[in-house]
Amino acid sequence: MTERSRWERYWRFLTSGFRPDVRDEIDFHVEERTRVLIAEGMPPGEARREAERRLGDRARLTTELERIEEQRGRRLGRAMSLAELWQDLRYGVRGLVRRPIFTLTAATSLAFGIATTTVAFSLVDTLMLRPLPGVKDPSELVVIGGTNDGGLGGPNTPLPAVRELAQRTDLFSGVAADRLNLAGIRAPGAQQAEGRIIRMVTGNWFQLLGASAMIGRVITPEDEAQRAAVVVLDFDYWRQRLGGDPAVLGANLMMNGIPFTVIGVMPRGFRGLQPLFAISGYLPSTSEDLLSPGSRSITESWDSGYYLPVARRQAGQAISQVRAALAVMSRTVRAEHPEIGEKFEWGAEPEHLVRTAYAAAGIFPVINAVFFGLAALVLLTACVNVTSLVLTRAAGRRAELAVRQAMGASRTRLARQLLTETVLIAVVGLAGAWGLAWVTINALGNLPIGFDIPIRLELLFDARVFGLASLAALIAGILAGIAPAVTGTRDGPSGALREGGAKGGTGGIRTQRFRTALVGAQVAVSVILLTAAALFVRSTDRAARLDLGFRPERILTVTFNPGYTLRSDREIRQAFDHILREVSALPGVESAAWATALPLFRSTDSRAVFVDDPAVQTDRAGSVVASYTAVSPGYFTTMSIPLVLGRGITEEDDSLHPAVAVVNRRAAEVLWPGRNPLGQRLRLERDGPAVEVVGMTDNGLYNFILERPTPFFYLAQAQHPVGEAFLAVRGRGNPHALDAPIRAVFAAASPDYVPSGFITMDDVIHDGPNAMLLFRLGAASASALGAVSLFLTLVGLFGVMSVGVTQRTRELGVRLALGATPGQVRFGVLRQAAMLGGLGVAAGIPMALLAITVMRQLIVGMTSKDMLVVVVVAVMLVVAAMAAAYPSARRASRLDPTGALRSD
Amino acid sequence: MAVQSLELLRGTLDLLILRALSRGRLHGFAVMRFIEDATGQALQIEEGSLYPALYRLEDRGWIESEMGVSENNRRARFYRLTPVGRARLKTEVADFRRFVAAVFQVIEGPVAS
Repeated sequence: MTERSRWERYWRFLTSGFRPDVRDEIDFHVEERTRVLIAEGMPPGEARREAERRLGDRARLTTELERIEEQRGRRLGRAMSLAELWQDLRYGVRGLVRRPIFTLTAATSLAFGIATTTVAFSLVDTLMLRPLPGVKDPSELVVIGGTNDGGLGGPNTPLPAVRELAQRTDLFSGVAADRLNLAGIRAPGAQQAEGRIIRMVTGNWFQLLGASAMIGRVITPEDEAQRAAVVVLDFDYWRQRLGGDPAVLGANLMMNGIPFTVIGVMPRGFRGLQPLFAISGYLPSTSEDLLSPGSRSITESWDSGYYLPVARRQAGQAISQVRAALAVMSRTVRAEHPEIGEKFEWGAEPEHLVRTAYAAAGIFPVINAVFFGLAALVLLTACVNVTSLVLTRAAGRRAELAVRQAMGASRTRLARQLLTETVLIAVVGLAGAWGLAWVTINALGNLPIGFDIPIRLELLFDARVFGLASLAALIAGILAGIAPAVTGTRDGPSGALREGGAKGGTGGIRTQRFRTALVGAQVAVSVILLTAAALFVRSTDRAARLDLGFRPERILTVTFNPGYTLRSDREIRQAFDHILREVSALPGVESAAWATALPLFRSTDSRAVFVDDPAVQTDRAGSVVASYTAVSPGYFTTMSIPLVLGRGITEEDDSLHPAVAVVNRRAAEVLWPGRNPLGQRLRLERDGPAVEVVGMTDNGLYNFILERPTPFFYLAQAQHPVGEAFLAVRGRGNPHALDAPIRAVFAAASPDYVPSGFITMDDVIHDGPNAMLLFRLGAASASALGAVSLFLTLVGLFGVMSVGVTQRTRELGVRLALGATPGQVRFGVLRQAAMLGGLGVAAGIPMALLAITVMRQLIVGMTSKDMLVVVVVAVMLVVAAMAAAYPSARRASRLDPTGALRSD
Repeated sequence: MAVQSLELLRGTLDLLILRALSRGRLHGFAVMRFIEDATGQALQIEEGSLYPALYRLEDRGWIESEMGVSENNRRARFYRLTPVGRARLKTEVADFRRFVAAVFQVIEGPVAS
């Protein structure tokens, strides 16, 4: 079929339809037949009847033919749309290639916007949205956090309590639990053991998650029942340390000197419920007693709560019902087993909220929403930039658009063409965004994090992320193109006659006003983003200046557990003493001390503390829960913790002398309100021996940088059984210079010792998740977003002011000719820019204030003075607007009046 | 010769239509007449099946149509071969010849006794 006739056919199809044609054809046939029959001698009436008869069922035939025509018409329609789309694309590509600078500028703008959105999505996705690899039906899983003092909750459940939970088959179809632990692992053939993080799991943990091994098998309840010494390896550990050799199945790995048989390897990407922690392997919970034979059995005792249970809800059990049931269970458990803690309480959260830490459940969605929202704002700003650019360019094509409309192209058709162009720009931008996002995501994955548990932030760059990036690009392209598509086609064929002439120049007053409004919107968005950034930075600053209660400079920390290879308390104590002596004697060491917990470095242990005085405010069982650490002499000196009353722990406080403790101010207030704590006694068990208070420190920060003042006490390490401990070493110079000498001390003491960590206290504060890490991340990302937005806005501003000056050339020429000085003209342009900035700021301030109220939870110590930040940002933006307009102002002041008057 | 109305296979009808149009532009009735005349009225096609066949041939792109005016000033649809259709005619004729020859071989070949 020829092109022309196809068009005609379609045209007819669209307009009058095909029915008249079909009918005419059939009618014609019948008439011809009649005519022929008459010519052969039949009488007319009979001829007609015969003709009709021969045709058969006319109605049915007509219907059938109409149906065929209709189908054909529809097919044609589809082909036409595709053909038109292809035409649009070719046309669009040609146009973009002809104007490379425009295309690249617009594409770069969008690339920034798309990349920002993509990275933000990738973060949110990994941390909250993405289904955990290797886990079945994660929506049914709830994580049960335990809390001992109404705090945030976490891995605090003793193993026997997990078994109690499992008995509630009405609530849960299964309950398992796990905890992180540190062990010295020596691979077959390796000389030295390494301190690695492992996960202790109950026998049904893998089963509950629905996870299976890649090779070999996973841990089963039989392994737990038999107290088997088996280990399932993590994929990355297997690859990196054991060469990815499948023959490792059945081989033995030495863990804390005990041989464990490798029974399986997990598939790549499987990380249990916490994708951030890079662990080495999984062991049955019962092997805990093998790994660290101390006096307290973790697997059987009710007062060592370290596990985090995870349960699969029964169908029909909502989380609220689970929580209510858990509250009741908590009461029962407290009554039956008071060692668990008098304030022990269970809570439940869906697994996707607690992938980083149980305590973060409440705030997590807010953080993610805020972050993603900010990123989306940047994308919006980028779109606005592109719209402005396209508008400017569309103005120059008004003749072309007008002619096409005059020739019959519909407005929709033209609009679609313009939209295709912006979508093409977005596609180019997508390619750029791809590169930007990839670089950013890789950089984020390698962030140093001040924690001795290795954290692996693996932001995946895969189909989901790519899908979102493409979607963002498509939306951006359409958004950016809508305004130009609508306004560019609005004028109709006579548009070329309007102001500006056929070439369009800069595009008319209305377009300019619209562009100005767009820039105003960009300024408003920048106000929001920059305010958010400023607040985060201030928050970080305040957090950094919080009084920690100790001095972190030049302190190196080393994590060590002699219980890996030593069995008796006496041997362990000797090991500690020996190492401390040797390390303290090293040149370059100012002082050193052991502690079972360091501030802000993993969470400290807490236990119930009993006092004899009935007047003291305690809970029903007569105890107060406090955090504590057991330290060696010299701890207070090493950490520079001043003693407000009495003394610290000394050499004399050993197993031969009375038990002593040092408390902090808060503990003193709670336990002995209004009295001098020195000389008071407390008990660590209800009927246990008394411990005398010999000193008091001020309040400090112990578990988390934002915690309320909390009671804390120090015990003497020599007077209490101890397993894992941290060595704090204050050096004279760079603390890392002590790495090698300290390792040498350990190695000399015994080749089986496995010191690990080697993190400075400064890093812990600066990069640690209990301290500054989240703040710094928040401030950095908000600042990045704010900077990108500001950049895009200033570019847009510059463009608009520049075009404005061009448009007003004649008017400015008149002014100059009438005697205005260049300075006055320049000032006039600058004032205009200031007003534009001011309007945008005015629009943005209410939204910024709204954003502040939303973000309130994330900001440290927010005061009403923080509202002033908005004012500062506003002023700054207005000044920046004037700066961006300066080149145009200068150009205006330099106009030659006669030339300007001649221009159109 | 007696007039016989034969059941024609659709493919054969298509072949006849293509042949009819090979000489030029015709309207539907003329196509019918051509076939009737060329066979000396021996073949009379079911009229109700002509037009669907014509429409389907057009769908396949072997013929094309446009509305026009007949010799006596009536509105009618006219058909003609497309280049593709012209080529198809050749192959269809060749196929049909082979088909007929094969059938003849069976009919006139030796019969088992």
